[in-house]
Amino acid sequence: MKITRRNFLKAAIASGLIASIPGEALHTPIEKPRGKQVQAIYSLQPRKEAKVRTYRSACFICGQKCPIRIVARQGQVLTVMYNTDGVNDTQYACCGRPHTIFEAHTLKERIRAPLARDGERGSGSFKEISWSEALDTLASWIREVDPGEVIVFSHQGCEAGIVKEFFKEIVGVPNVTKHCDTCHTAIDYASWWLFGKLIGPGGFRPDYENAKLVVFMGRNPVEGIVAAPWTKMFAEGRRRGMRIIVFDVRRSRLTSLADKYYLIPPGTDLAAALAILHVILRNSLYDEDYLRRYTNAPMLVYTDTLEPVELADNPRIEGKKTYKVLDETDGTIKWKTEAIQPALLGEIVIGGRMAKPALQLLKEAISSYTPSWAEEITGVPAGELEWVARSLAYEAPRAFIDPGYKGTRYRSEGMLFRVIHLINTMLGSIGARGGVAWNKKPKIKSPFKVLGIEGPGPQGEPLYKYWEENGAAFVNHKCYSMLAIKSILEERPRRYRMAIIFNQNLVAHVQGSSDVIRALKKLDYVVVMDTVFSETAVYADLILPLPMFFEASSPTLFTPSKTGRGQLVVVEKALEPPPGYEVRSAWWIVKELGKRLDPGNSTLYEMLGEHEYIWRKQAEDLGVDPEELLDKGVVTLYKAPIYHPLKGKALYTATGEIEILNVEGLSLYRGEVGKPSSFNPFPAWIPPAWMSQGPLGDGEAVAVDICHRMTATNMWIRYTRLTYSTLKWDRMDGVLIHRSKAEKLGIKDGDTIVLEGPGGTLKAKARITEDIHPAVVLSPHATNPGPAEGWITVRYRSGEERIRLFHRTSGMGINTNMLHRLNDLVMEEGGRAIQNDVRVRIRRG
Amino acid sequence: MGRRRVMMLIDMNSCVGCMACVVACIRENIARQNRGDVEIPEDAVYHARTKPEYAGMELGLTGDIPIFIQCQHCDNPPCEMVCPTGATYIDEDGVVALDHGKCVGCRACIAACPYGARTIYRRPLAGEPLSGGEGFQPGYPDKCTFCRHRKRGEGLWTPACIEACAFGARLFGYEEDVIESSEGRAVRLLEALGTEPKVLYILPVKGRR
Repeated sequence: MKITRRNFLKAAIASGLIASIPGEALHTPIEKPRGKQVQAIYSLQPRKEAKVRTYRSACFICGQKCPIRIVARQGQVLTVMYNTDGVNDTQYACCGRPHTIFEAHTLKERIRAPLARDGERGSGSFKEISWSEALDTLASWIREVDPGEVIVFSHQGCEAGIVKEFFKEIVGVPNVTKHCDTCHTAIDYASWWLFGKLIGPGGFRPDYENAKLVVFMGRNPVEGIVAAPWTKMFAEGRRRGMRIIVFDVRRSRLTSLADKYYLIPPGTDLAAALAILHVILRNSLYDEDYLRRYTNAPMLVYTDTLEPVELADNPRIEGKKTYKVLDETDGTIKWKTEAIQPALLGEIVIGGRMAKPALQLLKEAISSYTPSWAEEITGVPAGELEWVARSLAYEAPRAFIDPGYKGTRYRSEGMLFRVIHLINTMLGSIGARGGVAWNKKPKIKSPFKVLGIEGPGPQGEPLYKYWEENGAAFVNHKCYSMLAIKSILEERPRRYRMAIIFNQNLVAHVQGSSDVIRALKKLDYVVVMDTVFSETAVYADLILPLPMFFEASSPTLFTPSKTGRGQLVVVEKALEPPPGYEVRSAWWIVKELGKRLDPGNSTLYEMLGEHEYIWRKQAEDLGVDPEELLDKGVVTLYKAPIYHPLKGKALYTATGEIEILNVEGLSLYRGEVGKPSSFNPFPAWIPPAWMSQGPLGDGEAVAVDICHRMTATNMWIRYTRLTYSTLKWDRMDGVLIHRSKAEKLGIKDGDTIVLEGPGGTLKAKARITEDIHPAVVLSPHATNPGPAEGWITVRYRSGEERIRLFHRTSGMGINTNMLHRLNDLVMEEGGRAIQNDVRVRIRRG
Repeated sequence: MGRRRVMMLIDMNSCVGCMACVVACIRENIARQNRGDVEIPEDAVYHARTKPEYAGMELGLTGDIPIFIQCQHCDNPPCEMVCPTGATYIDEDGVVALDHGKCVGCRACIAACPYGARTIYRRPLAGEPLSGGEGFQPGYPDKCTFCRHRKRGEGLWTPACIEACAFGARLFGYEEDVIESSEGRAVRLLEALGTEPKVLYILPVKGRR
């Protein structure tokens, strides 16, 4: 029989082999231990024969929530595997990160009990209090302050949704924000221009499995976060012959797999993308039929005012507009809905005014962005850029530039992803098989809705409305964490008194760490809910310790974010927290707070503990058989993502089409034409911020942080020896600096160097390499704690304990947020961060 | 018919370097889960029995090619030839095994291995070593055993790295099946030495396919 891994695993799973192996095949003891005996990190109970169980869970280390199975016996993790429904295997995977949970369970940096500040704010001194005291204190603070004076920050984690909904809908806090403005908001913004709505990267599903050629700019599906199923599809695509071309600032596993890669200066991907678009338009390499059918490329626009010649209600699609085009069949101007062959290029005089199709205007707007022009900026030979463009066109529509996930966070990024969407549109790959499909995501009824727990809703205006009237545009109304910090600091539109921070390391994650610290110090009350001590927890007045995701079951089903197939996942408790750990899940905290703040609904809050009941209701609501879901732990709802250019219906734009020139954008931002501006309705070169300040000196570089295969935004993973050891193995246990720059500065490998940015200074260890572009210094994200490094002192009831934070990663890498300033955020793109666009001075320490 | 021998195939086109196999190997073979203690040695990845690396001419490859450093389970293992006590031996499944009960820690095997696959951890560790004669033990050479401690009775078993890989990059099975599955695309490292490895690699393919 020919064996494949899939067949083998399927057979093994079916026979119960895999589930039983770890338990049954454990090593037999030897008679005499060798080696000096030292204290173990943590000793579990004495071994007893106990049953091996497989738990269905999901990994919450990044935001993807990959379904996993944890095989455990009596508190020991024996095996971690990705979970699959057994049918759609290519949609299921997990990376190396969840395999670290056997170490995470016992991390010394874990918070073991509710803590109250026991000294100056930021001193790192805490004392244990009881849960009852902690919850009474928090409830009294919530009663004391006006809901409008509170800001709730929630990153991710097992129950972020429950926390957000509780504070927004029940407590009435109008400002409840996620973190995407420090991550992918530029990508959301780019989508507005073509698709009419802020669409996060999870809205798209790069169809690697069926693609022939994919170009990566600002995206690494191999090492990035929220990647594992995509990575599996990527691997499957490569198996089927997908070629890849990579533009990046460093060599990596991705470049080792690439058919071709280019190391470019940071943030200059936009120049390469503009040149690719230029070649496609100059040589008419676009898909004419696609542009006519699904885009507004033929829309006639007056050249003097840049207004569409005429718009009218579309008789075929309610609520959408149609427009005038030049019909090539008879040379007359008609509504698009009536034209047979709308012209894509050319010009016509209407009533004495010149009008041109949108595609013609687009072509003219980028006529100066030639490959030779881009070569000057990127260093990539013009001929190579021409080749990339022609290769994409040759393989279209099964070719595309990846629409990205976590932003690269340069000044020019919003425009980069607009141009990427435009290129994919020209190739006809948006919505195509082997192109960029649309995601399908089920809407899971929240536990509050299942149980009928209702509240008054937000009490007051959210702060983003103020900022939208004062310089901010395209704000994602769920993600404005940096505007919130700005509001605290500037007391605009009001003074804020309390921050509730759930699983979010604001000091490390928000651009301008020193500004965040100042903001936290201004508040009356800072409450942190987290699993481990962090740069942010140090500034808390009250810390509520959470269990690790595998130590608690969740009252809600989840859907992994980015497969486009609507997976539903059950999260079971796999391990008990270590003995003596007084940790509580967010749902339990919400339940107890709810009973204190809303005693009339106490019975309903108690129901939050009835997880299986809620899962069943949620599953039934989606038409899923609860028995199948509970049996497998995961089900797949949809057979395929949406393969249709317009998502199977009309898009959110005025015309319902993909708008290569946005009708609303033309109306709002006509004055920005010709400027290097985010508001320019046409693609334009916007230099990254560092480049605007002139050429880099010998002692200068652009500080960049990256996603490493064993780090993530859920920051406890930084504390694991396994991650640190991998960083060391990869020679990423420091700041990578190019050999040529190091030699000029007299820096040797392992030297301590000082990085001075506009917002702060960091000391770090130099790692000399030739695997990066000389313009950057680079390390994995948040591997330098900066001022947060130090000791935490906790007076637990069992005795005082001192924990040295970051004792492994002390002075190791970079956190670009600590080098940056808050006020450099990009207000015109939702107040988003430009964390990787910071110029630093380097000297030996 | 002779006894069937096992073999491993690693497809570097499917491997994305996520470290799942490495961490699973550490958990299974090094972190002393069995005794209930969780202790991970410093630089655990360096001592993992499989770990990713880029290799070039030293392993007979051209350029920087991603591979895994691990015991190749040679049919003609140099480590076995130099072992003075018979601690290194080939078992009935073709696995190159190491019996710590016989190992005197002379390190000849470390010097002999052309693949740099053996490690030695010199610091102390808490707790008891893992398994009878084959567990990770400070001060003594260590190597991949294809997790043969998982074998129960006759037939195949599942090594921890195979179980952990979500991307289908690793395949473990009987020699003839693995060779058939490789569809003629697999290579052995340093084949000219005549060591006859039983770990095969499919190296990354580039260009039009």
